[in-house]
Amino acid sequence: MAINASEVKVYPTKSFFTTNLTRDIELQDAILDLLDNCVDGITRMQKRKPSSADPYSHYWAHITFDKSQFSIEDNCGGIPPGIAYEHAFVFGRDPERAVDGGTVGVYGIGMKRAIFKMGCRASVLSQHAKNESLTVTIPEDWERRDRWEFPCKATGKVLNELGTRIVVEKLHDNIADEFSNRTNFQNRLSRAIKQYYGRIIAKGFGVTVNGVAIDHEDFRLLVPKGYLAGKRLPKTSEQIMPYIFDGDFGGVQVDLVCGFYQPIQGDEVDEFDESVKRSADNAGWTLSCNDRVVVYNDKSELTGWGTSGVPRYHGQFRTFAGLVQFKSSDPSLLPMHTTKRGIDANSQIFLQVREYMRIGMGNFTSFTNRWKSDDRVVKAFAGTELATLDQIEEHATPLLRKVRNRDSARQYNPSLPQPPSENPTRQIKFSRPQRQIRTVAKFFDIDPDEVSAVGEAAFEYAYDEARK
Amino acid sequence: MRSKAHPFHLRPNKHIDRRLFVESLQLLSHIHNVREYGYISLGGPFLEDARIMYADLGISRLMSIERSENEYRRQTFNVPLPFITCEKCDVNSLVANFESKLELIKNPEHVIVWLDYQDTQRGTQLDDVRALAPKLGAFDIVRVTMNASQSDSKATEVVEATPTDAATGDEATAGSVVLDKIRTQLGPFFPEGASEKDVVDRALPALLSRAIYSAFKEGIGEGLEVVSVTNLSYRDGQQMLTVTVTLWPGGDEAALLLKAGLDTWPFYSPTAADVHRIDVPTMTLRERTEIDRLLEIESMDRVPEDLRQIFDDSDLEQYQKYRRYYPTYARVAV
Repeated sequence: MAINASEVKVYPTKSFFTTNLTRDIELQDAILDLLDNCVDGITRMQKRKPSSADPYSHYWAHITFDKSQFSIEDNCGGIPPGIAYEHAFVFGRDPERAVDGGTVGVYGIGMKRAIFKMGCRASVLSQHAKNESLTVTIPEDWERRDRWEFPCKATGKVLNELGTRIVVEKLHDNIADEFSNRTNFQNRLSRAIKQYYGRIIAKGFGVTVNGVAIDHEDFRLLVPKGYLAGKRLPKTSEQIMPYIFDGDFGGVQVDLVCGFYQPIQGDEVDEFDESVKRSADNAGWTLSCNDRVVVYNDKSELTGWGTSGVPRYHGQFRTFAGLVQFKSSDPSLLPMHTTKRGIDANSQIFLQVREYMRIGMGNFTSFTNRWKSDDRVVKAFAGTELATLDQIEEHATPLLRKVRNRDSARQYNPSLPQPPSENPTRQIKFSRPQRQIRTVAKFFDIDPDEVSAVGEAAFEYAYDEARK
Repeated sequence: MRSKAHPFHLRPNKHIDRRLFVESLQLLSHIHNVREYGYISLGGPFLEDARIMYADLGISRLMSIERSENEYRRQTFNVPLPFITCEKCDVNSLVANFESKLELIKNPEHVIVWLDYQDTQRGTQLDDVRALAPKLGAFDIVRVTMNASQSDSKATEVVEATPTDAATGDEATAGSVVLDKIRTQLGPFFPEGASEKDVVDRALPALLSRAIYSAFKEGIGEGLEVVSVTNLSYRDGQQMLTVTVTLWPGGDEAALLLKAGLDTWPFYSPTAADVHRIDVPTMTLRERTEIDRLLEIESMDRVPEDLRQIFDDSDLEQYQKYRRYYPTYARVAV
């Protein structure tokens, strides 16, 4: 063979896409990519026929799998023929082509990567008009064929609604094992969908996994009673309220809310207490891009914990939660990773927003530190109730004030209650051998496991004696 | 109608649950004789279960683990057989040192592990199950006992402490509070899709059973399948759940099920959600003798009216199902 000494060969092989690229993604994330395509479909439909109230209602995606087959079917509009023939099956996106507004998909790799991650044979059916559909087949021996194109044919009315059905067969052994549910994959996937699509599901998108509907949990924070009834918050008084911020960052709309989702307790936190350990799962920062959650309940430096004066996350902060929503009609501006599983920590937008995240959470970490050993904290939380994000935002407008040096932004920085200075309390803390505690408990007729009660009784006893 | 109060020292339902465990092990002996197995449990101060394993099944490689110093001291004092090894450790350190612990009971090829929990620290207990799972091999058998009392979830207390739910304008309902609490407690093992109706007292054992299976499944080794043997719930005071599973090589389940005779055993649970409820009434010896004499396998017609005034049909059905295992208690003066 003649060698051209002036250049080296550069070209992709099919196995790069079917084997190498698929290694970089977890099965669960590959399936979430397919779900992202459904959401993108909804966004395209909305542009054709906008309805702002519940943009995702009436749309659904059904995921089913077993050890021999995977399928996902949706009614999210199907793939427009132009995109299907020219772009949808190309590996990577043509930079010349304008990106769709408001969608999270910009990289043009998700569907193919998901298919090859799972198996060797697939069909993609797109019902893009009432009587027009297109079926693309990925044959089992595609990798061995010379040509790159996938066969396709026009098929009439196959699906009742406009949408897409992807079926993957000839599953790889490890995938068939996961789909057999031997290791509980279904529950893990359902949980991930709930966490990452909760905002979208809350707005009406119906997702099922093997027939089980995925529900959502509302993001809620404590507000003073009366706030929702439209009562104006007295300017001077101190109350439990969330920190609220919104602003435009170069084409990206940012909405930030953080606060307490449950009262803090006066006692020192017992890190070994099971309810404490588990409820910490609900604390931390959640970040979403165009409603798609990309970071869930984060408690690391990424979201500002342990940086610039904010303490590191600790069990005592388990009642704090924050949500930042990034929205843009140009998804390439959003500060997310290509995988949609994470925020781009170097993005200028995110770095700027993180400053306000720190300001917001600083209120609540200082509050917790000031009150944590004061039993009167219970009173500070009296008269609060939980409000959903929508409710908080709906009533926030009169509270928001302009932010210095940032014309497009507004914020509400709450003044949280301070511990009263008269008759201040201090915490007494000491340890004694268990055997001695049992003896004292018996003396006071108290359950020896209630050690604080034993300590208190002993103090009261000594105090009474001292005053005699 | 019979009184619902249970005399504390007579716990027929718990007794039946244990008899069924022994019977399930006898069935599994058709595959590998359990006499050769090692047996590890949280034996408590009396080590009664280890004694039964030896007495009824001949298992002699016995180990009890205990993390509380005080209980451990009682255990070593009470140890009824010299070949029960008592180890002061918790489940995590058992798992971390599994191989060296097995050496203490002569390295059995297979093991039976019984995690017998009484309190409602279910999250920690599921973490134990998840931690144990990767150490288990084919034909090992595990039984988990978990407190399945909903009343213990302190629902009323939580309702009072929870701020008004502004989203609905109503006070948070007890059902939704319990659901939230149990969801938090079970963490990643909470069966997604479960709703308020799954956490009512009667349904809770099935939900917890599914969570226990989840914890096993998440941790087991390649090529193994978690096979449900029997799931039972009983109530002598607190409602308890016991789940017995074994691990079989994937693909062999149908043949092994047949070999053990599990498929035709009345107390077999084909899935995690199939829980047999044991709720046999407490009877006096006189009542029981009379009912035994007249209650047929399938019909209760011969039981006379005076007894049917005391025991309703569901009582008699329960007794019909479990009479073989019903204990006879006698007062013994030592």
